[in-house]
Order: sequence, then structure tokens, then C-alpha cells
Amino acid sequence: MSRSRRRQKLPWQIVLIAAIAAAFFLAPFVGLMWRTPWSKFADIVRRQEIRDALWLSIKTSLMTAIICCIFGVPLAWLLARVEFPGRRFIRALTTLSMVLPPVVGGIALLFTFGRRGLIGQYLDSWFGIRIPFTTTAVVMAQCFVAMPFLVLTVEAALRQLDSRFEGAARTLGGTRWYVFRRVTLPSIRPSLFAGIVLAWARALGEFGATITFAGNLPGTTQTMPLATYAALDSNPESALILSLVMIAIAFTILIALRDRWLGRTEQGLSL
Amino acid sequence: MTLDTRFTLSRGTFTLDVDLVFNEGEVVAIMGPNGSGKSTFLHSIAGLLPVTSGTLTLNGETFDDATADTFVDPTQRTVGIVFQGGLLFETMTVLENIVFGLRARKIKRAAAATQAQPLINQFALTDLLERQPRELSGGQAQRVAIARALVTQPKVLLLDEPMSGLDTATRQLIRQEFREVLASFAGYRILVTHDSEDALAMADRIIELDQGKVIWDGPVSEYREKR
Repeated sequence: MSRSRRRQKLPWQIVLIAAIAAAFFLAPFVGLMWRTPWSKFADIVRRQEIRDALWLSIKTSLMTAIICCIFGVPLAWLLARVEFPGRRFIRALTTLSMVLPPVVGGIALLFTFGRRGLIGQYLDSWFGIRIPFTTTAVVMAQCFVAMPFLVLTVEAALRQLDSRFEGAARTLGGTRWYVFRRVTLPSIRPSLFAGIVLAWARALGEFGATITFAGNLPGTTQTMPLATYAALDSNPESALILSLVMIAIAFTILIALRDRWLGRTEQGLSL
Repeated sequence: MTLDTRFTLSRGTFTLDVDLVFNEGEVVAIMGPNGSGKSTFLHSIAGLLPVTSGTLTLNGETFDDATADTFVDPTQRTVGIVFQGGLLFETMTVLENIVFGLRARKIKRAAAATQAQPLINQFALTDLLERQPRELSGGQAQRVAIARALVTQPKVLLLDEPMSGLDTATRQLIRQEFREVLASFAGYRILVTHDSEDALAMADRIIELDQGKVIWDGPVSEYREKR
């Protein structure tokens, strides 16, 4: 017999501790489903305020994903490819907003873009623009917490990409922009998608910065996480069902990621 | 007509210091151990690395002059370079790789393919055109890389360790093929290798680099005697 059929003996101590950890992740979902009033599911999901929150969440998080892509990819490219003074500082800043409690980000945004804030006072007095407590504020709060996920994922991919490929393309007559479009971007496509999806998922779950900077106004700034939290007091059944909807969305994202994108970019997530 | 390289190029603690003139038509092999500056030299000619001082001129046109602040972009240099390992673009097919230089010059897809046809025939690539680079053998990848470098009709052809990573049998085959390629190319031909067999088999003149300095420069016959 070429292969031993005897199973290798597993160290039971490690298995036991790992099982506790796994159960810790599983139990809350079981608890949630156990208490979910399944018969009322359709009624609750059809309610206007819930549909508003869901629609607002989808709308703002998609806008955030697009904005993160437009601004995040050039930032990632700069951080990965160009030596300039303050590069480490900017990367640290990017990472900081990732590990910062989102509520702190929200406060910072409020005191910058609020009516009396550093920039907000001029926006108000010169242009009459008031950002806080608007849907724009929701998107800004989401971008603030979500963009680092995209920037760091794409930057890691760019660093791994052999820059000689771009050099080869340049000697063949490709302008920098042509090379970026035809060689660089296609090479990092899996990481770019992973970064966009991560940023989008992060934006979808955003709570702290949003409630601080944008408030909790149904229809305007009340996204799904905010609606869930608000419902917990007055209507726990709605909170349960909203949670379930968000779990379903997160689950779908994970499945999509596993099959298509995460496989090649696991390293991209390490800081 | 000459390719004049009289410059220094510093990167960190390493400095490449050369004063070399290349003649059109000669095949020059540049040899030396790892880190001797061989690849740096090729990259400076191609415009991927700017010189620190001195000048680089091709047929009287200044490509790079540190004091006059002249630097011709790599896209404008008419220098073809075949990199170590081929460095084919993984996200493109073989055909897309070959016509890249033409497409970058805004030549339409069909016209580019037509223009590349003689090279495709010359390197027997017709059956490989729709393949992905990862599906090619080492020798095939090198042939594609050469076709890609030649498609824009460069005046200078630079080969950076074209044989590295190939097994001995393939090496023999490719060496013969490279000899033919080099023979059919009319411009300046510079080959970087750390293998003296390759150099002796293909070059007319051999230059040895060590720690960024030229330690030997002469015809291949003298090099043979020296050995």
C-alpha cells in the first residue's frame, strides 16, 4: 500500500480551542435566526422606511465604491511607484483611517466640513453648501473609512507587479497613460476588484462615522446599519430582519470574492 | 554612424562608469558577474534609467545628456529590448504581445497584424498567436519577445540574458536561432550574457564589466586567446 490509511492523530487541545473559536462565530448567527420572526419577514422588508434605508445604503455604498476607485487607484499608484517626500506619512494616514474608530473619523469630518469647520465655514459662506446631515455626508463618511481598503490592496498588487513589465511597454512606444491602461491595470485587475468589493462592503456596513457626521435622518442619511440600530429599541423584530438582510448581502460578497478574486490577493490584505 | 555611451550612472552605492563606442553592424556581447552593471547599461540605452553624468548619443542624436538636461523618452528612442525571461505581458495573447508596439502607435488592430506578419512567419509563430504567454515554452516565449521587440523596426537591438532559464537542449536551438536573428538585423546589436559560450558563439566583440567598470574590450578572437 502506497499510502497509510491510519489517520494522523490530531492534537486534541488545539482542536478543542479552535472549535470554541468557530462556535463563537457561529452561535450569534444561530441566535439571530432562532429569534427571527420569519412569518413577518415579507411585511417588514416591504415597509417604506426599510426600503428607503436599503435603497440609500445601496446607492451611497455604490457611489463610495466608484469614488474610491477614481481617487484610490491613482493614490495607490503614487504610493507604490513614486518616491516623494512625505510618502510614508501619507501611507500612514491612509492606514490610520482604517484602524481609527469610525466615530473619531466622523467627528474629524464634522469639525472639518461642518458649518463652522475648517473648510465647511467657507463652503457655507461662499457657496452656501452645507454638507453635514446630507446624503453627501453619508458618502464622504463612507469614503473616509472605505478607501484605505482599496488603496492598500491595489498598492500591494502594484508592488508585487514587476515594474520591468511597464519598462518593456515603454520601450515599445507606450506612453505612460497607455501603459497604465493596457499593462498595469489589467495585471492588477483581480486585486482591483477585490479592493473595490472590500471598500464597497466596508461602506455598506459603515455606522460610526455616518451617524456622527451625517446623522440619522430617515430617507436622507439613515442607511441600513443606522436603521437597524434605531429599530432595536422600538421594534426588535425589524432589527432582526434587517440584520438578516445584511448578513445575506455580506455572505453574497464573500462567496463572490472567494471564487473570483480573493484567491490571488490574500497578501494584498496584509498591512 | 555610432552609438556612443560615455557616461556614469549611479544607483545607491553602485556606479556604472563607461566610455564605449558601438559600430553599426557589429554584434557585441557584454559579460560580467551578477551586479556588474550589465542590465543597468542596457536599461540606460533604452531610456529606462537616466544617466548621472556624461552623454548617450545614437547616430549623432543625443538621447541623454545630464548637463544639458536632454532626455529622450524611451518611447522615442527606436531601441528594442528583449528582457530576461521574455517579460511577455501575461494579460495579452501572443499576437497582442507582438503588435503591442504598433498598437501603442495608434495603428489599427488589423493593420498591425498585417504589418507584423513577416516577423510572425520568420519566427514560426503562426500557430501560437492566440495562446497566452503562460502556455508557451521558454524557447517560444523568447521568440515572441524578439518579434515584439523588432516589430517597431528599432535601430538598436538589446538582448538581456536571452538564454537564462532555458534548459541545455533548448539553449542550443535558441542559440542557433538567435544567431540568425542577429545576422538578419542590420542595426546595433548588444547582447548581455554571463555565459561565455553564448558570447563566443554569437558575438564579434566582447566587453567585460566588473563592478560597473569595463575590464576588457576587444574582438572575440582575442578573447578566445585570452581564455
